[in-house]
Amino acid sequence: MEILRVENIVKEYGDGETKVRALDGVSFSVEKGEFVSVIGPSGSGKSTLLHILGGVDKPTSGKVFIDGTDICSLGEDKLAVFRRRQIGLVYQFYNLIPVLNIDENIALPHLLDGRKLDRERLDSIVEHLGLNDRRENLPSQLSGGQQQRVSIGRALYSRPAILLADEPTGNLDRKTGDEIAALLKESNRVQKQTLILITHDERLAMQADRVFFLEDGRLIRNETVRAKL
Amino acid sequence: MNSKNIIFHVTKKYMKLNRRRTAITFIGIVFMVMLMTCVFAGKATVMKYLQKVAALDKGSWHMIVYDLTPEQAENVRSLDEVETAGLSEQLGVIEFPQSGDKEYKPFLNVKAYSPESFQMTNITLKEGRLPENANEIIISDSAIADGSSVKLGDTISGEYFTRSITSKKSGDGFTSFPFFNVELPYGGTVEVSNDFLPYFENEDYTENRIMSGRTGEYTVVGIMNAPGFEKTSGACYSALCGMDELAASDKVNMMLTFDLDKIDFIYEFREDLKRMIGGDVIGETNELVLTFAEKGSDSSINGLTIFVEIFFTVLIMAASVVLIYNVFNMSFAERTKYLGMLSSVGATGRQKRQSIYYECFALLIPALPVGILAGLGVITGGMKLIKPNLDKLIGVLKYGVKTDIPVSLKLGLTELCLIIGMCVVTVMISALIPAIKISKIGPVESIRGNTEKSKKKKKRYATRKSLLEKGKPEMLLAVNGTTRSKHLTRSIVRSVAAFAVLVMVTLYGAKSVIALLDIMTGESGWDYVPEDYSYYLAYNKDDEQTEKLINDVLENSAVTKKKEIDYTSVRISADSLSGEFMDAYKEMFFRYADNTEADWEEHIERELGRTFGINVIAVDDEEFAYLAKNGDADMSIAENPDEPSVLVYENTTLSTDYYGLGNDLIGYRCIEVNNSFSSQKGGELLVDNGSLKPEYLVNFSIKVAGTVNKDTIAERFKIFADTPYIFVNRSALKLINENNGDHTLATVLFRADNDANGAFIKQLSDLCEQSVNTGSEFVMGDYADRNQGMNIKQVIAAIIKILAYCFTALISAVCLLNLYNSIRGRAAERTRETAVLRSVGMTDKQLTKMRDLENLMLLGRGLCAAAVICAGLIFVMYRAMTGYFGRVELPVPWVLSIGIAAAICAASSIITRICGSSADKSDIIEKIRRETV
Repeated sequence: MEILRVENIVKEYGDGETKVRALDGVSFSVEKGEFVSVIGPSGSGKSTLLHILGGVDKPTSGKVFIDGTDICSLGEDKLAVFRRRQIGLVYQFYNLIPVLNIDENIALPHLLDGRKLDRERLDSIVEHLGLNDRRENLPSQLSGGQQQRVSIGRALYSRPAILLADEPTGNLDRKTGDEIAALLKESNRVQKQTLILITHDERLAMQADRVFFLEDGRLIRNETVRAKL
Repeated sequence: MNSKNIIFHVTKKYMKLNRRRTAITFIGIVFMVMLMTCVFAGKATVMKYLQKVAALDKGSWHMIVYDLTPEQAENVRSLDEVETAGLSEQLGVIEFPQSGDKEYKPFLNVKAYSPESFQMTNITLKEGRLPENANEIIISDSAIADGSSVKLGDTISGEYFTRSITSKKSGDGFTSFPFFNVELPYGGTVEVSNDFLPYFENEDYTENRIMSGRTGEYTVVGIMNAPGFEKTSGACYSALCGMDELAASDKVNMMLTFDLDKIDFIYEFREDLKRMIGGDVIGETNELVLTFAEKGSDSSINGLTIFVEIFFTVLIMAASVVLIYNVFNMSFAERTKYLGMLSSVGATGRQKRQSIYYECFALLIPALPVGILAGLGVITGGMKLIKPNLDKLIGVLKYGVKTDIPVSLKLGLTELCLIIGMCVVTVMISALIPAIKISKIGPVESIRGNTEKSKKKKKRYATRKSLLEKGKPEMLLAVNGTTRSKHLTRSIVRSVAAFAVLVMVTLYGAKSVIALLDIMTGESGWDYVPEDYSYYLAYNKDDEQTEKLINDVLENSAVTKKKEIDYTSVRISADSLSGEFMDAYKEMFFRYADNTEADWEEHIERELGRTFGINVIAVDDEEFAYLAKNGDADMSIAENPDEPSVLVYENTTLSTDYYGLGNDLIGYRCIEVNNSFSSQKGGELLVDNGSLKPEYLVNFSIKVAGTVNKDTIAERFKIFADTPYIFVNRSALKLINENNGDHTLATVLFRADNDANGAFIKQLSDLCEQSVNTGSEFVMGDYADRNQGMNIKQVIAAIIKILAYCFTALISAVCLLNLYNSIRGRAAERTRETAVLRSVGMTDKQLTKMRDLENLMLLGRGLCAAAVICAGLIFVMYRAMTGYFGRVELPVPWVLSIGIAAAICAASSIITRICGSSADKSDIIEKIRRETV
């Protein structure tokens, strides 16, 4: 079942002589529960693509359908509601709210949606992330790996349609990076969570169902990985 | 490049890199310099202006020394302290054949002035020119106004004479002329001044002329505005002629202005001068001009001026310290990063501190000229803005004079040094705490941006379960945002608190100063408040002829409403006055250094042993009942018109200005007494006729219907009582007059609504003018203009009021800038956090709600802190002011406080919305990508 369809996306920055085309006619689709990784050199448009898919940026032209909804046609408020319900975003630099503790950070998108706290789910996620003894700490009191776990917890708590991760291990040491990657894979495998992962780490990318190769804003390869590591 | 230079070099680089932060700090420092300029140069400018205003009264001279020989005059002129010296000579009185009022003003009072004296006395010409020699003269335009035929080119000549009067009465006793300080023994002759009224011949005495033998012949070359020294009621018009060489035998007066920087105390200098030129020489000082040069003897105004200056300087420093400190504090994280880098390559704590001071002073140096120029601009603009009001006030003071007194900026070396000195001190204080904090942070913490203390690593932040479970994300974020991020919120709380405290303290100070000025400059008297009347007539009731005339006239059908209020005075037994009043009176007594306990006992025995003079306002029975009903009175007494009864007015303001109880006043003091009388409801007030001879002394008592005070009578009467007041009914007034003789001054207020063509009022005005000649004298005026008369102190008080409010506005502007800067700074530092919130699905509406809640919480904290600080500061100020000036009520303006709090809330909410909406407009991606350590 198709959860994401991208049609001929173009994204341009600047104008005149300084105009830069970050994405140049990118089209693809992703099935529900699929794990897709996006790789490519720096400046190839990976993060731009991810932000457009996450509804935090808009393409210059083209369409993005998530679960049948064209997110490019949504207004600011509807897009915000869409983001908190359908999208889970994990950033390289975690982007946690510094004044909220772990529990509060994880539950935030859910609360923003006007829903009551699901204490059981919160407990299970925190437990699963191995952060039980840090629940009453602020992000600044945590290590990078712990912060990224919280970031993943926040992205997963609302059971979004798609989990988008922008180089989630890029700022972590290898061991911690592996742990984070394992968490993401597990959410994909166990909870059938659709996962789109941007990474420079080829080893991690090859663990996906499919790998998209981006170069100069164009999708130059869309390969199914036959043998997972 | 040495180590200090490299620190400064790097600091400079970072200042360039962080242009926004540098610009905000610069603006803050410019503001501080501007405000300091406003205080010091503004004060100097205003004082200079007020000196010019004060000079309208008598002139710009500082001192006049009388009766000098030409040689003594030359000695005085050669003194170092003397800046300008002008000579004048009182020539005397000559006949003025061209007078338009020969019966009452038949003479010219002629003085000779040197050119400098003309300048120093503000003589202004209506036409013609000033005299250039001793044969040219200018005449007061009051002569022209009275119908004189004199014109330019006319010649006036005559022999000078002095005046005296001889009594025709025989036996013991004397006739007293209290206004002229003349006591004429029966059958005797006394010399009278030029201002004495012209009573040439009547049944009691006759006027004589003693010819001096000196003659004068003058050509009229100009008509001047009536000079300040001219008495409207005197027998003379003023005339001034020029001055030629002096003969050695001449006695001259000398007008002087001093280089006041060379004189510490004008009175000590006056004594020196007296010693130098002979002990009997009298020197008169121009008090108001000297007061505004801060050299006067009026310690009340001097003290108030110094108090206002210190008060405003401290407030400016406080506002500036908060503003600059906030700017430094907000950029703390940013700053620690580069200082950490310096630290990692060996910079010491001292060097890091130096970098902060370097930044401050690197900004202060260019800010000084900018701020001073801006300050001068503000002073110029401010004075332009308030000048129409000032001119109006001066116009009230001196009708018909040229009121356009130019404002000239004054920025001397003293002011410049004060501005620079205070700015340097303020900057040092502002940067002190950030510099110390920064110098203590180690290199690793600085570079990592982790400047929190290590113990915070272990601190637990409990989940706000109620908010989490009830699903209130905006409240959750607001509560956590305001309690867990102290670094960012403190500056806002501080700004709110500083805003409230500074404005509140400024307003309290300004209102208190105004209240003190009102008391210091207030003139004893009463006013009937309701504006129901159009005109008033005032006359002495002891003149039966006038009373009959007034009563007849007011029977006219044109008069639709009238009310008579009478005023007199009586002496009451000192026992009727309260202990509180007597204590205050005693305190006044001991404000005179040479008074001792023995003197007090003697004073009590001699002056107060029997009675004390008080004021009496007599009203009609209806008015009396109304006052009694609002006060605390026995209505069965108050509503009985046949029973003489009295309402005692409890508020009295005693001051050293009114009670001269000795020679050497220590310093101004006023005391508000709220319970002046011991005689209370149902009691009796013991009154006597004040006779000094026991055989003529008459005692009687009046029933006390009750007590009233300023609040209970506020709708009907406003009283400035420097001696106690009572209200009496008609029966009581009758009783007083029967025993004391009728010395009542009646004021009749009336409307003439049926006087359609104004004929009645015209007839009344004509009667009023004629009344002077017929002996049935009364005055008439527009009721609305009854309080228009102001003395110079009141004009100056009014000017200071305007300036105090302007300053409050200026302080508010600085505080508003500070608040804006803090809120904007917090919003700027949270753009990434805002972007993250939006990226996880927070809508604009939710963001606005969160910010509003945060704003409310920070306002609450700021205002609570402000309330505590204000309470302390206001208490200190109250104690300081009442300790220095006297026990007066300086009430806390509660309504105003609520208004200030509401205004701060409104300002903060608007700024929060503006800063929030500009943060929302920026790109989420841009902010999320902005990586932090």
